[in-house]
Amino acid sequence: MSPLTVRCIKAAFIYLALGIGLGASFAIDRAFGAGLRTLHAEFNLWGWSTLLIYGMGYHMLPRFTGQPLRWPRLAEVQSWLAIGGVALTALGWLGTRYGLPLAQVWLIGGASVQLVAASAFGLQIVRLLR
Amino acid sequence: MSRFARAFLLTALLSLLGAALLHLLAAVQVPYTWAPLVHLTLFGWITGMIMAVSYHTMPVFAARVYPTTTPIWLHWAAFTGGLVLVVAGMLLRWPLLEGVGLALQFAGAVLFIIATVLLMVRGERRGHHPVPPIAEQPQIDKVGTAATKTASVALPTVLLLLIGVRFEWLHANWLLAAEHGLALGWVMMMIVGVAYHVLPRFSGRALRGLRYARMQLRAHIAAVLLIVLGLGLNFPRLFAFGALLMALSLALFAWTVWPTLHALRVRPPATIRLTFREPTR
Repeated sequence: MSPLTVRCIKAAFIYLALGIGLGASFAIDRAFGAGLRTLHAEFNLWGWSTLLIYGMGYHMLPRFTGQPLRWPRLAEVQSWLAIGGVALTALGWLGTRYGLPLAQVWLIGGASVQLVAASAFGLQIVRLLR
Repeated sequence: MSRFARAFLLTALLSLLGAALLHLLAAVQVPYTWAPLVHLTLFGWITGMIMAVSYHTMPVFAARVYPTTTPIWLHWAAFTGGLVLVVAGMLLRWPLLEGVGLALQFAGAVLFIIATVLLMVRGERRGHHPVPPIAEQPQIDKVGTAATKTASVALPTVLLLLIGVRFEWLHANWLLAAEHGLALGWVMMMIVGVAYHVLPRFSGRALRGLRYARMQLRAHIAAVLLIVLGLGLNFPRLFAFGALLMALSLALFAWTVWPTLHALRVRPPATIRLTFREPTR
């Protein structure tokens, strides 16, 4: 597997640990869970599942289609944007919950970065399918 | 890659873009964007990718050819159409539209099972089952297949729960139960099943051991049941026990697959050729 794929998978497992850890803590303290539900969803949906799909997608889809990635550097940048975007958004959700300054900026910034990362991944894969 | 696998891939990618946009709108705190965001991410992006990979790889691992592509195309139509209706229904606050979309998605999940059963029962055999010379891999494959079968049953079950909540046959508690059932019973279970099949093949290295894989799958299934019932029936202790068991199960999963992941980092694997010829009829 390429360093690109391994990076995405490693990051996905870190976010999974955070997401599951939060989920398990909600089981003990439900009021805590009610306040951090968005953070739990962020880690599990965008941190774990999405990063895992990006990583496995970069490994498998070129093999399925019999073509290499058209823009490998874009894929490198995309993986960092996706990983960083989740971290920024997670900080934003946490900040919103506890009234930290600039929380809304982190939140919107992180979600925007993730939108750019998603578009870059889509572009890369659509190019593979042509 | 077959045309139908590409079709699922395109729906998944469009869902990803839609979900990322809704994610941004939710960050800006636009009302009523959270529910469609979660639905589009889980049912469109993640499920679409799982379907694309499944339809591409299942004939390879089963060493069979789909006897007909009609159920697969019907599945894609129900999957995509249902997704559009549910998300539109959620955004427009139109419960009937959402309910019809969920029913279509349920039909799609059933068609997925039908297409898979047809492949296994009536699919023309070609060559041999490509089991690599890795210790215990045939038994590990059985554990992986049990996981993917369980996941395939979880998907329509969860959709039935969501339909029940939408039409108020079930208490609203079951919404959260269904979301967890989907994320852990369908998505995570499918990831586990596929990982047990493909990671040893990609790396050429065995998992840590059959007994760990078996133990992990049993713990995972039990945890999903406890979490779903705990949330749906509002038994916090049941949910707590299920959540802790799930954390344990996923730690066990990481422990089980770690040797193969480590091998993937150390040396590049031989390329596995996964090709599929679409039937002409």
